[in-house]
Amino acid sequence: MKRAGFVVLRVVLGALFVYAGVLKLGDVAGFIEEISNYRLLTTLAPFLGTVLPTVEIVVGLALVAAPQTWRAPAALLVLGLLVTFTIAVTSAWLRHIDVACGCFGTGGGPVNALTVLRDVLLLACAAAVLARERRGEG
Amino acid sequence: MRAAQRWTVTAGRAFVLGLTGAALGLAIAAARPGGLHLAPHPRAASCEAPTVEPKRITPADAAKLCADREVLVADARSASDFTAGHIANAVHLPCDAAGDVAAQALAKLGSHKKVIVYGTSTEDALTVARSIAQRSSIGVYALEGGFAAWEQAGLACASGPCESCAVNRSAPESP
Repeated sequence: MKRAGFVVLRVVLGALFVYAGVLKLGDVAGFIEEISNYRLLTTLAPFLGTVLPTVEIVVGLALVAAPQTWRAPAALLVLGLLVTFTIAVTSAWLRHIDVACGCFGTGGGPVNALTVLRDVLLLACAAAVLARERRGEG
Repeated sequence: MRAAQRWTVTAGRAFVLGLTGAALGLAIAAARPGGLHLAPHPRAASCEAPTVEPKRITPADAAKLCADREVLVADARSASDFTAGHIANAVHLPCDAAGDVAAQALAKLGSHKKVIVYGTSTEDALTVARSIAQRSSIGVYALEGGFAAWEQAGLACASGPCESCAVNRSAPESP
């Protein structure tokens, strides 16, 4: 039962990344603009906006459907991405920057405490999936 | 396999996954009609207090200048004011604190060498004009007296004479 729960968590997390990546890929220019609006890595925004959507799709697919040897690396990469996203949204929230999240393409809402909380929860899920996959129990 | 080795293998595979995703993203961008553009975008016009001072221009001088194809006319007023009436061929470039809307309009500067900004007043235009001047190297002018002065002067702004297109009334805003 516990194992089934982790499988569901892994698949949902992976599907969420694929979904977010596909939405961003549909409007790369808008996503680049939203990264710029964070005022953190403005010069890197075009590069990040170009590669992040497909990185999310690849890592999400790997988490959902790859053989077990690739699931722990996928979980590790998801964890790394979520750490970065959490730092970015927390920073924008603390600086009171009125910026759209950009988390799920350009349709995402503004960054607020709930955005930070959601990212922290996803971070915890990714850490749990990584720990499980590292033990080879996923 | 020892724990440290296992972490190294996991991290190495994570790197391969990331690299695959990044390469795919770059390939998709390169295959798109616009091609691959990784240079930083110019920042949007904003209402922050910038330091670069644009030139002021009278409606009469602006009318002479804007017949030039290299000159872009930008309307810094609200969307409703722009829709109600604007200088012919002007693009909407509102003063926007978040920069989201203005960023798209700023992209319309394209290959233009000069931009004339007008607003409801001179100060209105100067705020946006300063912002553009800070973010690009093109010549930036702020129209003195705002749109009202342009209307009073009864000037047109298009290539060649065009009495009727001095002001576009109720022109729908481009999406």
